[in-house]
Amino acid sequence: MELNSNLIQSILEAALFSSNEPLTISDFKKLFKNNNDNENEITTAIIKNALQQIQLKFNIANNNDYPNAIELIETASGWHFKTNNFYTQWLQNLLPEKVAKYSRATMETLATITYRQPVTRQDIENIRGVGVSANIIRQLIDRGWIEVIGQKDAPGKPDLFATTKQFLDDLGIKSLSELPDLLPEVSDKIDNKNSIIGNNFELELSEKNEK
Amino acid sequence: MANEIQAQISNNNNNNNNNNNSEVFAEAIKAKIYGKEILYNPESNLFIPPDALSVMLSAFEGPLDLLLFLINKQNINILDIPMAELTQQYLDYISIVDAKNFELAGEYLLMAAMLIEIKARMLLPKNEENNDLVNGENDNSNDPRTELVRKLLAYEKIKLNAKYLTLKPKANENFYYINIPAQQFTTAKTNQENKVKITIKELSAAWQDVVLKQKLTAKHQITKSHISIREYMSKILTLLNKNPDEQMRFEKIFHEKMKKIFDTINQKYINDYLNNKPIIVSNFMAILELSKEGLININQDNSYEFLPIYLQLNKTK
Repeated sequence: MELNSNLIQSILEAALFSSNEPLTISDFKKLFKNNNDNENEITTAIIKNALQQIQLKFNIANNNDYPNAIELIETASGWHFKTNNFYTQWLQNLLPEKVAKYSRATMETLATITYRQPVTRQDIENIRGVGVSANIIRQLIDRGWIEVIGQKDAPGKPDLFATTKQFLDDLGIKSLSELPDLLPEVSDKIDNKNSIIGNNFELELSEKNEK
Repeated sequence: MANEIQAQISNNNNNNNNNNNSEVFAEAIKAKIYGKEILYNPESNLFIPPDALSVMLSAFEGPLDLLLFLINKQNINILDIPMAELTQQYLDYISIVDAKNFELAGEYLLMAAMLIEIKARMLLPKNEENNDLVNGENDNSNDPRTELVRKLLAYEKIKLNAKYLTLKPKANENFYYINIPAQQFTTAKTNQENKVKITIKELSAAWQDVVLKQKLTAKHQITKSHISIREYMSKILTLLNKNPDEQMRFEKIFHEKMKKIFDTINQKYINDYLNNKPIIVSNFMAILELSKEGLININQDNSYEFLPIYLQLNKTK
């Protein structure tokens, strides 16, 4: 049987729908293990092309009034379908997951770890200017969003924290680079000369990453 | 998407500084001196309602947060902070809170000391050479305020990013991933002859794994659940009866996907099902009880340590 692009696309769709985990490119390649036709090897490019076709099919709204029910995305763990955010207002009646409310302190701690990782608890405290309670750290670890990835070579060998793969999956992104690094808006009142100074401060920020 | 959230954050920031902090402060500060609104004046017997103070305290995440508020509220140029003014306002705040005997975190006092030091250093005569323009720009390396401004900007960035992360849609909150439950059963690939009775040691090791997994995802539970081992025994038997000729992996009883199968258990604590130690323990005891009564077999291929353990209905009864 010849594997034309339509067939390949359908095979990938079937795999995505029947899988209980996100699928990676190498997972997709395993689908074609029995393909004896060595001339038409299923390459990464072919699979990526088929995935894009599937995205076109599902992600672009067919019904002009409302978005499609599901869409295909690639996150850190691989490719999987997700429901469109629009439908959460109905779905949450059926799937009553307790939505955790995170305090500002928790989210600031998470943001610090996200944008400065790897960091120790002391680093976080220096940046935020306040102490970080152990509860916040534990809450973030329990949530599966941060983990200890080693120890810093300093007195006390403090733990180094970083974000996890699950963190990326839960945000629906593939890598940390998809997170914008928001900069505080420089007030309109600042004139040009000062904004040059502003740039210098940004440079200092990146250079003085470790205190 | 990033743009939308960014716009939302800008709006929120403009509103927040007004809503959370400013409104509260505005209520408390009603004095204007020489047309200039001042924050507090402890000496002038201004009555600040106690409620306002406690709200003020919790409105800030720390001294940096408070400083940013003071700076933004008065449109101070963060790149050229009037240290005397800012320090005075900050100290006024501290003294008010102190006067009302509210507990002030040590960080606030440390910051007060730092501000005073910076202000003092600014009073020292500047070294003429260092003030020359370097490449047409001001050389900031000897400005005593540099470190403080760096900290403030870094923290402001963190605040923004934290807001962004809060607003960003998340799995199981704002959208759901499509996951098909895994196959619960595997057809028996090996003959009966190859199966050996597992030892207590192996069963215990498998059990330890399950408990360890649950420990890592433990949630805090408050409600008391009603446990009945008999009930779990029936559930497990029902489950195995669905495919009487096949065997089911030991871990699957405790697996996330089993939520759906056990849905006749009181809906109230179904969400805590798998993170609830008493329930996990009861499941395990149900398995042991079933084995003791000869209703199920617990099998393992060849008794090598890491092969999976299976449960199967005992047909010989």
